[in-house]
This record gives sequence, C-alpha cells and structure tokens, in this order.
Amino acid sequence: MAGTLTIDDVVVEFLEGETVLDAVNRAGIYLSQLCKEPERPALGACRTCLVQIEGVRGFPASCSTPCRPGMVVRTHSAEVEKVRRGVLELTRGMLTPGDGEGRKNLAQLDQAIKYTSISPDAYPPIHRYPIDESKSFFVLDRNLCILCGRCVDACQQVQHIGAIALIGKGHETRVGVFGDHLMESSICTSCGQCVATCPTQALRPKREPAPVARRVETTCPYCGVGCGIVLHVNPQEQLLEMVEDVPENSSSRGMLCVKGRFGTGFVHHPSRLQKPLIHKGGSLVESSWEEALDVVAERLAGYRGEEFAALASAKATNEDGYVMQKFVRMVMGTNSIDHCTRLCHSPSVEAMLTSLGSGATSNSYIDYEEAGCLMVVGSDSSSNHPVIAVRFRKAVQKHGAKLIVVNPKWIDLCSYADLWLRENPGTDAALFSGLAKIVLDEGLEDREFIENRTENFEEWKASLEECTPRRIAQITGVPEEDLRAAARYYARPAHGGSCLIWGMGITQHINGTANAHALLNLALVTGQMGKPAGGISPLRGQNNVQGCGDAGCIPDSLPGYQLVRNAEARAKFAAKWEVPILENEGLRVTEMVEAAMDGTLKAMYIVGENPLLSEADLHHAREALSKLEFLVVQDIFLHETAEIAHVVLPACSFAEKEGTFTNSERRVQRVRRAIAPIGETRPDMDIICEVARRVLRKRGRAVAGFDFTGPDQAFSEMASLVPFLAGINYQRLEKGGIQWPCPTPDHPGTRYLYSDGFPRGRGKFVAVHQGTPADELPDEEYPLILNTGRILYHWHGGTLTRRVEGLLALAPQLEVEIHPNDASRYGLQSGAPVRLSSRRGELTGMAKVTVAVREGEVFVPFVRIEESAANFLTNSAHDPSSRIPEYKVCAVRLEPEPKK
Amino acid sequence: MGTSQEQWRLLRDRAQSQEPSGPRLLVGAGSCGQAVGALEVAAELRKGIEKLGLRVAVVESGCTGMCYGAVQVTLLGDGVPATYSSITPSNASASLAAILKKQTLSFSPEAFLWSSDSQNGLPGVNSIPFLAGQRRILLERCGLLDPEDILDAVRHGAYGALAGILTEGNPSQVIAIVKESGLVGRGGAYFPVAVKWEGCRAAPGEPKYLVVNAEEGEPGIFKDRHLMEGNPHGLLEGMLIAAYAAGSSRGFLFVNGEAKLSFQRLSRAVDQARSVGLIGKRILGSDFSFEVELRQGSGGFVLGEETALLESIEGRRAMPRVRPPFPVESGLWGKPTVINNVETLSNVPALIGQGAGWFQTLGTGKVHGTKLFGLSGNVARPGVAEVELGRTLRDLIFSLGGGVAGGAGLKAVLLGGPSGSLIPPQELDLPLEPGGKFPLGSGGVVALDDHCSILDIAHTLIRFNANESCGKCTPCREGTARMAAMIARLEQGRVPSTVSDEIENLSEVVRLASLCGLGQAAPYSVLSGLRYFPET
Repeated sequence: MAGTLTIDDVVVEFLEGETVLDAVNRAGIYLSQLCKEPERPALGACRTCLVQIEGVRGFPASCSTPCRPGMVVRTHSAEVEKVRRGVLELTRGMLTPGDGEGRKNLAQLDQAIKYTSISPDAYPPIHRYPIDESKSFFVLDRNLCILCGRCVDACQQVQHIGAIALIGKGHETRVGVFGDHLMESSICTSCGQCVATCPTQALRPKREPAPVARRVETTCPYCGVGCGIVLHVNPQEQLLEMVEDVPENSSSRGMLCVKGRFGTGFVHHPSRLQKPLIHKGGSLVESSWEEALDVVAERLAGYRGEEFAALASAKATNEDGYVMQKFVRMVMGTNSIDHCTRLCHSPSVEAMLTSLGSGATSNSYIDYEEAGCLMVVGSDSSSNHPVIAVRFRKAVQKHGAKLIVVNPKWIDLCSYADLWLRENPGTDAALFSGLAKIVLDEGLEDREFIENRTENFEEWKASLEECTPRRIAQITGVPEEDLRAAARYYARPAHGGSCLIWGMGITQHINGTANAHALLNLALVTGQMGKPAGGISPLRGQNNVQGCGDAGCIPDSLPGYQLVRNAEARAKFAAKWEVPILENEGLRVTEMVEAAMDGTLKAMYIVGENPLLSEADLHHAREALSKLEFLVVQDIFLHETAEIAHVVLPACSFAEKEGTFTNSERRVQRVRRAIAPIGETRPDMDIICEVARRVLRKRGRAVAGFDFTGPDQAFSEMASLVPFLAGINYQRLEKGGIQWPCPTPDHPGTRYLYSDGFPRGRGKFVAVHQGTPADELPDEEYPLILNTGRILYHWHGGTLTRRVEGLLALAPQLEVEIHPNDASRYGLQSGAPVRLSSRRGELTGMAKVTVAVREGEVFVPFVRIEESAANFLTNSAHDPSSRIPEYKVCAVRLEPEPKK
Repeated sequence: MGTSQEQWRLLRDRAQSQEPSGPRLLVGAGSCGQAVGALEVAAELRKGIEKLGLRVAVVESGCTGMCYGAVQVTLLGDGVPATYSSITPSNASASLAAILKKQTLSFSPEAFLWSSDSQNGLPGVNSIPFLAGQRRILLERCGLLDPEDILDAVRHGAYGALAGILTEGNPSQVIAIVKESGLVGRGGAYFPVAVKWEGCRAAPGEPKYLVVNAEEGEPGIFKDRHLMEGNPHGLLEGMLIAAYAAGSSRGFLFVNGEAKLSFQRLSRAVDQARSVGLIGKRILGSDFSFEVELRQGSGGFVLGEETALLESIEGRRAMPRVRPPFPVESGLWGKPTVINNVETLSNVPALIGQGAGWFQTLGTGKVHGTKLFGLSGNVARPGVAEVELGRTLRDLIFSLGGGVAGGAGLKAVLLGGPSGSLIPPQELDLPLEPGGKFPLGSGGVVALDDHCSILDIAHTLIRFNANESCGKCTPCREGTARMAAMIARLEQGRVPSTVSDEIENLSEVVRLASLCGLGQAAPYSVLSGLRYFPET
C-alpha cells in the first residue's frame, strides 16, 4: 500500500503507481472509462472519467491522474456530472444507428449511458459510413465508433503492427488503414486485438454475438508460444468463434494471433471423427469402441520389439505423451517412439545435447524484449510464432534493440531489421563460423566465459583458420561489411544481452546439426548465454513439442531426457514401472519409414500426427506405410495417414480434455476441458490406457500401470521421475504456468538456464565443416531451388486451419512465390496457375510474383490445399546425425499451367 | 577553461578579419518581403550595380518587421545603416544612387537612419512611429545582418553569452540567472523557463532532449518565423545555453512545414555552427556537447501543442499525450525533455549577457522582458513589433500600427489567434501581460474594423478549431464541430433564443473537458464574442 485518499468521503487505499481511476474502481464507484483498456496506459481520449479533486483546477481525467496521499476526490458533484454528461452526449451523438443491426449491444458505452441520465438525442448523427466487411472474421462499422483509440493502441502499441490508425482530422477523424482503403488492403494480420478491446462493437466478430454460458481458461492449441486463451461456450455447448486473451498469462501477456483468436472452429467441424473406424472390405466403416479396441489389442499383441513403432503427438498433452511412451516401452517392449520434433528441431536438440547437455531453449520471451540484439535465423517468426514476433518488434521499437535477420527469403521481420543477411541456401554453417572468426579477429570474444565455462576452444579456433570474411562472403553471398556489422552487434549489444533465435531454416538441411553447432559456437565464444536477455532459442513449432520430448517420446530418452543408454536411468524407471527397460535406442521417424519399406517394421500406432503430409517425399512415405501389416491411427480428423489405417480411433480435441502443454519457454500450463467430447470421442490418454490394458490382458501380463484416475495422476507420476518437473503439480498450475526446471514445490520456476553451468559441465566448442550446401541442387532439368515454410493463416499441413472457414478465406490458395525475373522468363503474372515438379512429385499452385524470393528460387508453404502439397516435391535426403529430411532445399521445374 | 576562451577568441578574430570591406545592401527578404518581390529587387539591384561598375554586395537578409514597408533595402557600410522602404523591382535600379549616398528618395516614403539623429534629410529612427514605440532586443539584428553568415552574426555579438558561460560559468548559475529574471515562456502558456530547465536537469534519464517548438501554426502570428529568418543564430545561441543549463545533449528544431525559409536558414545556421565547433562534441573545447537535428512539421495546428509535437518527432500522428508525466520527466522517447518556444530561447542570449537585473528593468513590476506581437488585420501598418510587456493594445494598434486602415472604426481586436478572445474597443487600455484579463496567446493581434461581422468571425474561428482538432479527445473533436453547427444556425437567424445558452453550455464542456490547450481554449473566441458583442 502506498497511501490513502478520500473518494466521495470514503477513505480508499491505493498502491504505488495507481491512478485515481484505479482507486475509484477499487472503491466500487461507477465511472465510465470508455477509452481505458485495463492493461494499458491511459489514453485520456474519451474524457468521461473526469472527477473533481480538491486543490486542483478544473476536472482532471481520473485515468491519467496519479493518486497522492490525502487527495480528496469527488466523482459525483453536480459540476463534474454536468461536464461528464455533456461529454457523453457528444459521444452518443457520434453513433449513427444502422438498420437495426449491431445496435443490440454497445457494451461499455451502453453501460455509461445507462448510468448517466443524458438526453440520448442531444445531437443528430453527422456521418454515415459503409461497413467494412472485407476481413474474414470481423467488421469495422464506423457508425458505432466513438474514436476512443483503443483499437489503434492495440494495433500499434500492443501488437506493434500498425495496420490501423486514426486518419483524417477534426470531426472527419476515423479509424482506417493506409490509403483509406478497405481493411483487407492493409497489413492487418487479423489478430483481433482491436476487436477484443473495442468498447462499442464498432469492431465486432462477424458471427453474431451469442450468450456465453461458460468461460474456460486454457492454452492455445496451435504453436509453441503457448498463449493463454479463454474459450467461450454458449448454452448449446459450442465454442464461440472468438476467444478471449489472458493478460495475466506470462507467456502471452494478453496477446494472440489470428489462429489463437479465431482458429478454434475446427473443434466443431462436421468432419470431426466421432466413431471408431475399422478397415473392412476395402473401406473404413464405423464400429463400436468395444470392437475397435479389441481389434487393436488383438493385433498389437502380436507384435513386439522392432516389429512395432509409435508416433506420439506434439499436439497432445504431456500426460498423453507420457502414457504413450510408457505403453511403448513397458507393454510393447521397444524404444521406437518418436514425434514430429524429428522433422523440426532434432538437429538443434542433437547439437545442444552434445555441446551443453540439454536440448531446451535457454531463455524466456521476456528476454527477447529486454535484449540489446536479436539475431533471428531461418525463422519467419511473424508467421510461425506471431506472438513472439511481437516481442521482437517491441524490442526494436520500444527499446532500440538491434535486429539481425538471417534468411535467404524476405520475411516480415526484415522491415524492422538493422541488418538482413541473405545467405545462399544451405551455407549457414559457413556463415556462423565466419561470424565467430570475425569475433575472434576483432577481439570481441568473452574471454572470461571461454576460460571458465567452455572447453575445446583452441581446437575449434584452429578449425576456423580458413573462415576469413572474404571467403565466407564468397560462400554465403553476404557482403563482408554486413558480416562484420552482425558480429559486432551480436557480440557487444548496447544493453542487456544478445538472443540467438532460430527455426527450421537452420535445421531442415542435410547440414542441420552442423548448422546448429555453428550457432552454438558463436553463442559460446561471445558468452551470450546464461544471463537475462541473452541466450539461445530454437523456437518450437507445435504447441507441445517441448512437452512431448520432456515426456520421453523420443527413441533415445526416457522422460526428462534420461538416456536409455544410462543404466541408472533404466533402473529407476524399471523400478517404478516394474518391467525391464530396453537399452538399445529405438527408431526415429525417418528410420521408421525406411523400416516399414524394408518390412522389418510391421505395425505402428500413430497418435495425432499425419506423416503422409509432413514427411518429405510423400509418395515414398505412402508406399512405405502402406506396407505395414497393421496401422492404427488416433486423431481428430480422417487425414491422409488415417485413410490408410486399419483402425482409426476418434480422439478428443484440446477443448474436450484436461492436461498440460509445455511451451517454447519451458512453461508448463494447464489445458482445461471446456466442452463435452464431440460424438463418441475420448481423450487420447484414456484411449491409450485402455489399449494398454487390453494388450496386457491379451499377453497374459498383470494389468497394471495404466489405471490413472485422471491426467493429474499421470503428471504426478511423470514429475516423480523427472527431476526438473518435480516441483510442479496441478494445484500449483491453477495459479498460472511454471517454467521448468522446478525441482521442488517451493521453487518459483526458471526464467533462463545456464547461469551457473551447463548440464554437461562445460560448454563444448564443436568444429563444424560446411558440407555441400544441399543434397540436390538445380540442373538443366530442374533449374529452380524450392524452399518451403509456413504462412500465418495455415497451421502446418493445414489439417486444422483448412477447417476454419475464416482462415481458409484469408489464404484460400497455394501460392508459389517467384521472383519477377523468373516470372517474366516463364511469362507469368501473379495469380497465374503453375505446375511445379521435382524428381519425386508435382503440385499445382498460383504464382505470386515477389522479390521476397531470389531469382532462381521459389517458395511454397507446406500446407496442403486441395491435392497440392509441397512435400510431394521435397527430398528425403537427411542430416546424417539427426536424420532430419532436407525440407528447405530441392530442385524443381516450373511450368505455366493452362487456366482451368 | 583556457581552451574555451582561446577557441572563442580565434573564432571572433576570424570573424573580424573576414569582415567584408565596402558597402553592402541588405534586402529584407523574409517570407513577407519575398512575397512582394524582395528577390526580384535584389536581382535588380545587382544588375544596377554591375552596370555602374560598383563593388557593392547585395545580401538577402531577414526583415525589420515593418511588413507594411516591404520591400526594404538597408545600406550597411561606413557609419549608421540606412533603411529604405517600399522598394519595388521596377524602382530598385533607380533607387541605387540615392541609397548609396544615403539621400532621400521620393518613392520611398519611409527612409531612415538607425540612429537618433537625422542626416542628409533622412530622419532618425525615433521619428518612425512603428519603430519608435518598440524596445527592440530580440529584433535588434533582424534585417541588419546576413542570416546566412555565422561570422556576420559573431561580429554582431552572437555566441558571446554562450562563450562566456562555457568559459567561466556553470549550469546552475545559468539557471539561477534565468530564475531570478523571471523569464517565462513566450509560446502562450507563460510557464517559468527556469523551472523546466531545472526539472529536466534533475530528472533521471539520458540523453536529455531540448526541443525547440518552431511550429507557430496559428493564423495571425508570424513572429517566430521572423526571428528564424532574420536572426537564426540568436535562436541557436539561446538553444545552446538552454541545453547547457538543462543538461541536454541532443536537440531538435521542429519547424512549421510551411515556414520553408525559416527551415532553410536554420539548416544553414546549424551547419555553419557545427563547422565552427559551436554544435557537436566539446563545444568551443569545453566539456559541453550538443547535437542538433531539424525536423519539418507536416501541417496541423495541433503540432504547436508540445506533446503532440513530441509524438510527431517520434514518428506518430500528432496527438497530445496525457500529463503527467510531464515532458521534463518523460518526454521525447521517454527521456527528460525541455520544450521551449523560439521567442523564449531568443530571449536567452541577451538575458545571460546582460544579467537578470537588466532584464527586470524591462516590463512591468509583475512580468519582465519584452514581447513580440504580430500586427495584422485592418491595421494601417501591419508588421512584427517588440514592446515591453505591459503596453496596451491601443499602443500597438494606434501608436505603432497607425490605427485602422482606410479610416474605418475599430470594432474588435482578436488577441491570441483562433484560441484567443475577441476584445471590444473599451478594453484597449488594459496592459498586455500574462495573467491579465485576456490571454495573450503567442502574441497575434488582429484588428477588425466595423465592417466585420462578429458572428462571422466567431464562426470562422470555431470552424478553424473544429477542422484543426486532432481528433483524439471527444469534447474538442465533437464539441467544436457541434459549436460550429450551432453558430451557423445562429448566423442564418432562424433559431430560438435559447441557442446562445446552448452554445455557452457546450463551450463550457469543451473548455473544461478537453485534453489539451487547443480544445480548452477553442471556445474563447465564441464565448468572448457572445459576451462582448451581444447585439450580434
């Protein structure tokens, strides 16, 4: 408490930094506050919260007046009420009632009018504006706008996008976009932050607002950022299209992106799987759970060891993952369990385990905001981790951080960057070795850090001999002076530390692990690790890819990255599970495909993954999986892989179950059931447990270890086996997420790692060699390089987002980005249909002529739209140590396609 | 200390040694001079000089403030300067001989010497009513030096006060002098200058900024432009002293987008000052470093509001911020920031040079110093005049301005532009000082003769305010528009008698509820019009 003041003769306490409005609100006195978003600084625009303060001239706005001890405030004197009424009448006069629509609920303004007896018709309407319906999820109806400015603040100061602004002046002022065109013409990303804050429904969801029966706080199911969301459930037990953000969530701080805000519609999509399916007579037919589970148990009981493998889901919960790997190891007797991390960050994890002894991101999102330099490598964060990209923009715009973007392709972040290093595809290892060489040549290294915290420095240093700036400039195509500038910015940030952030552009190469080592070497040599605002972050893709790995869904580790090679670890789990644990590592995803191809792998259980869209070289993958004797797929939609399954088990979506997700900053957060399961679907964990029990029974083994009363019990078991989760339990998570390591129940969680040391002891420099840039390079037959990635409006292969009407509307076609020079060579214009083919397959899409890509390169997002998907083309050649396929580079041919 | 003195001496010596020999003709080429052909006059003069084979330099300078006498040509050479008014491109050449000999000229009704005595039939300055009534301190050099030559400014004494404090002063001394003098801001709010400087100096945060508000966006006032065009180095010197006192290391000159000439001359002045070591690192060899950037406004009355101006510098739409925090604590990019008006800073060199005691002899017992006023409207002699605070509107309009043009009667005076008041003739003898019955604003005085309709004037002014409202806060944006509509109805005359009351009620809401000074002052003209001219 900072002091007390008197409001309307009542003594009210106030806290340090509070405004008079805060105190008024705490006192329970109603004062209209139309332009005040609770989490934002005062705008002072609506002038409806005026009060009288003894000794202060006029009527100050309470929202922007700090409390002082002893202040005497009057909120309802006749004089101040008269002025406030006058302002509200002017505000009311701004509304131009439409033809009955949209006027039902003006939210906060209605409330203000109700409390203040104003004459509603003091002023006739002045304007009539057409409603802007150009965006897919919401409308801008200026006839209901009172120009409070909250939407503009949300767009510019919260999301740091700046699509909307007040334009015009005087009473012609209006909310609009650049050029005063329709909103769809703008850089708006449909994040909906403006809609959420609008006090009058001038910005409102297109779907008619419905009564809300229940609000359930949970965690967004899309990317690894892990934003807090509140699902709204209507009386018919359906989710409303728009979710609410959670300002208290430390990971998202009230921010969301378009997918988080509007993308949960897939939950109710009519194509949701609602009953088990069994392959009979050439097609999948509906069956009862009893029958399906029996078939699965019967068949799986017939395989064990290397004949069986499973894929767990990075979209499912920690508990689902834990139970799944337990089933695989304990019941099926194999370590062959993997998940999609193999296809995204396995090289990062591999390199980090070698150099540091842990595979997680070291730092938190708040560190990005506070960093003096951000180096974002091979990550189009604005599309893939939109809310993290906000933190980057904020660091640049608010705190003057230097931003270095390393990407062969122009991405949105380039507009905010101080430097854009546009390296030749596949030359990252050389690039980062070159930067390290400059750091050493210019004496920018952190000697103390190298001395006290690292090993193998001299050997590594010797390996850099030939990485002269000139040579690296030749290899990478990045000018020498840019290399030097980047090295200086990164090694010596003006404030805080430097954060090195990377994505698939580093890993999805045949040199993936070498690339990741080159990054780690740079972080080690500059000592940019183990401190606030400085560290390393491989940005995780799926909502729970971190947790899925933590839970042990990887072929070489038990839960908590306890290696199966390690006898002590095996003994610990064997004691708990009462079965021996196999010592030999299991198959990785890519090896499973090969093993299926050669017939050694006979049965698979795939949960919440769709390898027949996400694997490289899809034709090959389909051929391999089709050879399986038995394939059971458990998911929420009948996707490409499910279509060839022998049994398909319908699972609940995130909205129908309890559990936890662990996000990219190691924060374990709750997932809560908002609605009853759709149809006959069941939570993944329940299904896996049931299958496990039945297989055990068939095998005549004791039916134990799979009788959890709920996800909390599964989590407790995992936490008891994983030291870094030991202090976390559901009760604690009720108060908000906790970042691991959290070893004890009173431990607050950990914002950044490695402050004292690395799990392996000293950080190890690893000499890297820049191999041939890619396995397949262009030639006469296939003259273009294909690069793949993602776009904001679709999630990965699009299984979810294609089922959200508004998202599909924002990106309805597969766009093939092509440089203008190539476009003119092929006689193409934007919008022209094209066919793209590689040695492995082909796709059709629509040309988008843009300088975002270089001449000789094309870019296609890996979402599948209609029959076309980039992974029909990509090359399954892989990085030798992590086995990640080379999604980022392959050779393709382009042909204009006759218009349909 | 030694180095500052030494470097200053070198600069002064250089200025002296490079003093141009021979006579020079200064053509009053401020923006109003240029509007009536100053550049053409200069060209004609050069042609004439060439034809006569003379060695006389023609320089485009600022103006004296005697807008009514433009184009003026001033002879500088041996002895007292002589100024000739009403020179036109067609008579320029013919005037050369007389000007160079300081003789009278039939077609230049007002020609005079800048001395108290007359000579050759040319009267002294005291016989020129527009000048005789003034106390020219800020305007002293306007029209009498080359604004594009820093050495000319140095010869006229510029940067002497700065050199003095850098040699043997310190910031707290400067603040103490300014505090003692009682100097208040001249932008319209009349806030004590020393309080801002001291507050900024004490506030935590680096760098500290000094922003010069040279926006001067309101109709009827043009005195800051006059200073920037006529004596840019006077402003820069004031700015440097202020920065030194406030602990600021970075400055912005924010110049009205339409004041192109001011911008040009200031840019040049800044470049020259930088090249001689008066701007940049270790100024004159002292520990004081200061960098200056110029910014051009892109229109909008609201830019004169200091926090809106800060928003604009930061690259956002010009809209006022809420206060607190005040700019001295958290201004430009959240750093401590002093924002001073052009005229305010132009006061500083003389004040520091001559001391607080001297400054206090100017003005009234309550307020000290001089004030620049822009005289326009239906006045016989429009222009920019500098008088001690406390003089009256009658002095300005009748003694200096020569009364109402064309012999009509005076109906009202608009004091302080569109945010100001309409003052009836019976109030002409009130002293002009801050805190008086009528706000001075920034010093715009527009005389309105008895052909004017007060209602029409009030309508025009409120429409101006409505159009220029930045749109941020409801009472200003909506209220001024509604007021304009009500007055339009009043003008059409088809209204119930209660409309006046409605206007007055709404005026109160706008005045009391608006976020910034623009809205708060917007109803003044209407309120004063209704009060003092009830018959309209």
